[in-house]
Amino acid sequence: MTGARQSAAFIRVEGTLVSGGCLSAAAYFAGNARGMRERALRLGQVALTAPVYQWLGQTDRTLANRLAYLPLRGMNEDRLRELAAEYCENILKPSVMHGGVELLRRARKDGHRVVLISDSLSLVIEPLAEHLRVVDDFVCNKVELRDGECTGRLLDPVVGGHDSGPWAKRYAAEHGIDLERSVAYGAHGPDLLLLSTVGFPCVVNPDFTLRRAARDADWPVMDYRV
Amino acid sequence: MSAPLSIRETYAGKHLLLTGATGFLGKVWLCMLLERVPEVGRVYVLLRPKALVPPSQRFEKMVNGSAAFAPLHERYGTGLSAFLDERIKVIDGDVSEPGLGLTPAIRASLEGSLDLIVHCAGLVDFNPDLRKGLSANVHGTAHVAELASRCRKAGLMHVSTCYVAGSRQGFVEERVYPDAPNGTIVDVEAEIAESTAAIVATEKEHASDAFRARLAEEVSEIVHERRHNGSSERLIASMTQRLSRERLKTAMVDLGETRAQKLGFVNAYTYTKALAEHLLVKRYPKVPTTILRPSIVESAMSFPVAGWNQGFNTSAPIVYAMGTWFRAVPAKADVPFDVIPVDLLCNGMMIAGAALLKREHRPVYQVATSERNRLTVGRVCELIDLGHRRYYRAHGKTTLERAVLSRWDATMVDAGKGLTLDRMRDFAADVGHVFANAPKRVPPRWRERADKLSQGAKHVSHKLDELYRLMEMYRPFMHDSFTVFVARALNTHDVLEPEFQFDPMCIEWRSYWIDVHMPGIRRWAFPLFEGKSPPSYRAPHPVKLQRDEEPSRDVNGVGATHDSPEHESPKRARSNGSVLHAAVAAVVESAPGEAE
Repeated sequence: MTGARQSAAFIRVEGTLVSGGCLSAAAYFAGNARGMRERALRLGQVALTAPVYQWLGQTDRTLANRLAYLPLRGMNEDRLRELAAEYCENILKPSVMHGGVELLRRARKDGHRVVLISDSLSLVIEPLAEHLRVVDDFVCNKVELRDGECTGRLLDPVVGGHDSGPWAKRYAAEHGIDLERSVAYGAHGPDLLLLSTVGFPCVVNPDFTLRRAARDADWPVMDYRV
Repeated sequence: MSAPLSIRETYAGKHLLLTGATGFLGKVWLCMLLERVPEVGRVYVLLRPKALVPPSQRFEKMVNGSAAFAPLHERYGTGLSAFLDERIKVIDGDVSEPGLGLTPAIRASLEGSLDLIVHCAGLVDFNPDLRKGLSANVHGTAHVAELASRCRKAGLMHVSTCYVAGSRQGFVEERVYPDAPNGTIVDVEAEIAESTAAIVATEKEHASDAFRARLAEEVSEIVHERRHNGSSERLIASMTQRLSRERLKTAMVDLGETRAQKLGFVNAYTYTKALAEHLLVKRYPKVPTTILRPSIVESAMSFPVAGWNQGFNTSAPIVYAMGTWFRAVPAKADVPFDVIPVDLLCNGMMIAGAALLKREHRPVYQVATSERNRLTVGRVCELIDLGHRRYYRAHGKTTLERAVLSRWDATMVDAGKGLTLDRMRDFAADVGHVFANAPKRVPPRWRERADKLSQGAKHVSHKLDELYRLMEMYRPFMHDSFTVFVARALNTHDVLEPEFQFDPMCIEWRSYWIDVHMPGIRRWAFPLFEGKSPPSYRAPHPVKLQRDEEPSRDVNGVGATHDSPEHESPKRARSNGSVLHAAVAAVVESAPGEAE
């Protein structure tokens, strides 16, 4: 690689850019499955995942994310894509916070490569990234689709786990990113390792774990709700 | 693979005859030919005669009033009239007549000049009156082939349907099978003779004095029951005559079904189309012929206009029914639902026609998608639900439509199992019957209520019956068969021009169905079910052809083919009294794989 390497802005979608989490997307898919009985069953499964999300969400979300999308097993790909477009249009876009959009614009203005990181599915994040216009890349979870049906299994690597630090290093190596000059905005405990990898970490609307860690590490903390 | 085939070069300067130009397929193909191959020689367009309206005027009306010709208007603007005057010659004729009802002079001129005959005309009712079915689809094809056999150099492209496979299961190859779907070897001449004899016998039976006397008795009973006074003799006579006509028609429809089922065909339409194919093979072996079999022809992907279709199309009634509160569709999820967009089909026709002109053709081309890009009934049902969901969420008139109907998904059920439509219908009819005959000791107030309940139940029973009939029409295609149509022959030709490629893989079903096809039928077909007119097309520069005074038609003939206007009159739908009735009527008058 010749010349100066590019810097990146890694921005966590949930909590930083949009107010909702990925569980609401799973619930939306489940609640709009084909037929009333299927809807009730799938919604029930998503509801069972919610406590797991709360218990494990502060540290590692890999298992919680896997469980959250398991109720989508057997759902048709056509329906998933249509619902994803609907969810993005009707729920995700209206919940985008102005503060988050400001962060994106500032990152772009500062010459960073803007990378969104999300626990949600690519089906949902892709149209959101297109809508935001200033996004260069996005990294999110992908659900396995086989023969036009969802298996409910998340493809590896699952976003939301403790390997966000090594992942950021790999990503930087692949794309020629200088992590020392890069920024990262995180909102949850599992973002800790990502934040500690970059030169300019920033914590936004943090949960309990991350707020405490930010205070210990003396990272800047931003709080906005709109 | 043979030498590269240039569609434009092959058609350049060639003279063609097109039948069925007013149909769905005929219009799109004609427009595609004129728009993409303007170098073509003369195209003779055969139009069925109509009293007082010269054929060229009918053609003008068609070109000026149909969105199918929008690309031509866009391309040629004010010069379209001159272009069409150069390229098109409209002739007055009828395929169901010997010699197509043409004058000897016109016939001689055609015989000397034609290079290709494209035979799209036909009767597309699923279950037609057998007399009409045979006349239009079998004898009509024979008359066209007869003309081809007299021509110096013309080849014949006959548009049939993939569903001549009838109840055949598994992979259906691109050839004319010597046997019928049930395995009986088809002797086409004997079959036509038998059918004709059965028609004559049925007509004779209905004309007999005994039959008429029975009818008159039946009518007089009805008149007596309804307590008509006065001129009952005249009334009885006129009612008897009407009833006799209706009974004969019903008998002919039943006869068609019986003859079709005897050989394993799902309806009289596919039966007559199959007979036409056998007839071409047996009676006209020397005529250079290719049979083009489309599967279920649906809205255009992009040409002439994305989503364009005409009238009551094949999947439109079922899509419409699934947009109502109706839920249980008798269907099996894994059954292939072979759909071909009309513009892709026209590409296939262009290739097959060019191959025929160069005498490099195959005897049969199937234009289908189930082999390489399979769409299943299960997926179709899902896409229909999603299409309705999107529409009702955005455009639902009431909260109920937006919040509930948009999420009211149809489910696939096994025919004959559970709470089926016919059982619900019979139950509703029984309820209606029980409450209609309330005992006399019941107080008048309760009797009134019982009467109302009875009427309501009868109404529900009637609606369910319409739906049941609709679903029964589709059952062979959605429930009973697992048929895959092999469509490889078209790809044996190495077509030079990319716009004429035939590639079933280019269809992305989700986007085609939800973004193109459903909005298309919502625009062009649904208004007809609701007794409204679809949006009309107004040509920016109306075409005016130069009048040709020379008569092209032999006036002794009597027309018999089905004529398909741009959009069937909404009056018909209205006269039937209900939306679903219109949908059922639509299916009766449409079939998979055909144009007109």
